[in-house]
Amino acid sequence: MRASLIALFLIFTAAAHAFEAPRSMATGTSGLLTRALGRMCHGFDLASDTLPCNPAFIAFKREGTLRANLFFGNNVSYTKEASDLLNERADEDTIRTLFGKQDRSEFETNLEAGYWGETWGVSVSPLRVNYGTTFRNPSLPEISLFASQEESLRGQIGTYLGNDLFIGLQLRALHRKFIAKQFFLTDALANEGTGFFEPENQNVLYVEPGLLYAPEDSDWNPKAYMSLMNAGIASRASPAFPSRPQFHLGTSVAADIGLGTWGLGVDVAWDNGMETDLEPVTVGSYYEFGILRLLAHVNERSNGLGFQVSSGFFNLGLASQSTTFNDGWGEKVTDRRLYLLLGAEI
Amino acid sequence: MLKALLPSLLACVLLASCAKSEKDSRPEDQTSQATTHMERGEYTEAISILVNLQTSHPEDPKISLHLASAYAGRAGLRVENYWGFTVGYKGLFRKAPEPQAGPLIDLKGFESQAPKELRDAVTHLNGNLKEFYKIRRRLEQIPYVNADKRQDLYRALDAIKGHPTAGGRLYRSVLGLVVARSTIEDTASVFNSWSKRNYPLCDAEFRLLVDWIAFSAGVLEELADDLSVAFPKDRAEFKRAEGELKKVSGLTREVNRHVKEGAALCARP
Repeated sequence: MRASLIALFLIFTAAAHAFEAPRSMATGTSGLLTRALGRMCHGFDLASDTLPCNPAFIAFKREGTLRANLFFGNNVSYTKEASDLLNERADEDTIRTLFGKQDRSEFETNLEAGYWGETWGVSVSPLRVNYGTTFRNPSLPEISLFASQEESLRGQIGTYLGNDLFIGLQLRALHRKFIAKQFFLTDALANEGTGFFEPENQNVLYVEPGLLYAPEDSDWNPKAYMSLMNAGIASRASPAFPSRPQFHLGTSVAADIGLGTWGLGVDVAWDNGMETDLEPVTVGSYYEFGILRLLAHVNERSNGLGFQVSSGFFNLGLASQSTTFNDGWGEKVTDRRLYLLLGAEI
Repeated sequence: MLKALLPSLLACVLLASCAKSEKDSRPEDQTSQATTHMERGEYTEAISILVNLQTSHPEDPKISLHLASAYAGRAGLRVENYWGFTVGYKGLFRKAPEPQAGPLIDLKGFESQAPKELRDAVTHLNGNLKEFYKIRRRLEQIPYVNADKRQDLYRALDAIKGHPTAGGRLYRSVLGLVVARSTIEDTASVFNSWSKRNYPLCDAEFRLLVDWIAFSAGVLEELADDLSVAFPKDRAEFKRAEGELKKVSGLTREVNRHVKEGAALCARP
C-alpha cells in the first residue's frame, strides 16, 4: 500500500508550468567548457575556464595560474540594449532594437578573472549578461523575456582525503538583477515602455561541494565524482530563478592516445522540478594535442562542439551548442548558438 | 500483491484522465491551443476556442486581446504589416506642418445645384478637416484591407473596445488605423467616380461618400481616444485631435441630414 502511494505521488508530481528562466541562464557560469562539454565539464580536469566546474579538481596540486576570460555568444551587439532594459534606461529605440525582429533571440556575455592556485582558487565576474526572448502569435506577438545581469565572486578550496579521494567546496556569492516577463508587443510600445520593465534584485549565496575519486595507478586515469551545484540561499525567492540544487554523478577516463590525450565521460544529473526527476545522461569527450583542444558533448536535450587554442599567454576558443528548452508557454524550442572565448593567462 | 495494487492502478487511470482534462480546460492552456492554431494560420479554429473562452471569462483582458488578434490575423494582418508605423507613429497626430490640401468635397462642381444649407455644411466640413488631411497623408504607409476581410477587423475592434490596458488600446488604435486607411481609400475611389459625373447630388454614390466620411471620422475619433490611453503623457494632444474629429463627425451628420432631405426632393417626380 505504501509503495502504491509513493508510486502515485511520483506519477503525478508533474512540473508546475512555472515561468522559469532557461537552466543555462539560471545555473552556474558561462564559459567554453560549460557550453562545449555541457554537464560533462564536472568530470574532466581541464584548465580552461578560470576555475573548474567541479571544485574537487581544485585539490589537484598545480602551479598557480592567473586567467582572464571574455566569453560571448551571437547577438552580442544587443548587450547595450539589454543593459539599458535592466538598468531602467530603456526608451523607444531600445524597444525597437530588441523586439524589431519579432523572432526568437538570445545572447550571453561573461567577463571573468580568476586565480587557480594550489588547492585553492578565486574568481570574480563583474559582468555576466544573459538575454533571451521567444515570440508567439504572428498577428500580435506575445513575448517571453528573460534578461539578467550578474556580478559574482566565487572561491574554491580543496584537499586530498587519502585513498585517492579528493574533496572540494565552492562558495559563490552572486548579485542578480533580472527581468522575467511575458507580455504583448504593444504593451512594451505603449507609453514608450516607461515603467513597464521593472528589474528585480536577488542576492544568492551558493554552497557547492564536490567529491572525486581518482586512482593514479592506471593508464586510463579513471575518475568517479559527485558534485552539487546551484544549492544556495537567496535574499528573496523568485519563480524565474529558483535556487534548485542540481546533483551530478559521473565517471570519466583519460589516456594518452596518438599524439595527444583523449578523455571520455558520462554524467547523470538530478534536478527536481524538471519534467522528469532524472536529467538526461550526458556523454562528453575531449582530445587535446599540443596547443589545440577539441571538445564535444551530447544528451537528449543538448549537444555541443568546440575547440580551443592555447598559446601560453593567449587562448582562443569557439563553441557551438544546440539546446532544447521551454519557451515560457510550455512548448519546447531548440536553438543553436555560437560562442567565442578570448582569454589571457599568466 | 496484484490484488493489493489494483485499486491504486485504477486510481492512477482515473486521476490521470482527470488531470489531463483539468489541464486542457485551464484558460491559459486553451489560449495556448488557440495560439498554436494561429501559428499554423488556422485562425477560424483559434477564433472558435477564444470566443468560447471569452464567454466564460468575459473580464479577462488577455483573452479578448488574443481574440482580436485572431480576427485581425484572419483579415490578413500580421505584425510585419504594421510594425514599421507602430513604432514612433505617435507622430501621426503631432502638430506638424502639412502642405495645404484641396477640399475633400470640391464645391466647384455642384455649387449651382446644391441648396444653400448643404453648401454651407460642406464648406464648414472642408474647413475642419485639418486633422483628417494630416492623418490621411500618413495613412498611406498603412496596409490596405479589402472590404471582404474588413468585417473581421470590425469584430476585432469590438472585441477590445475599452480594453483596460495601454497595450490593448494601442493595438486597437493600430486596427482602427488600418480600417480608417482602407475605408478612406475606398472613399477616394467613390469620390473620383462621383466627380467624373459632375457631382450629382441625387445619387447613391454621394450618400455613400458622406456615410464613409462619417464612418472614418468615427473610427479616427475612437483611435484618438485609444491613443490617449496608450500614451498618457500625450493625452492632451490626443484629446485635442479627438475633439477636432468629433467636430468632423458632427458636421458629416449635418451634411447627411441635408443629403437625406435632398434625396426626398430628388425622389419627387
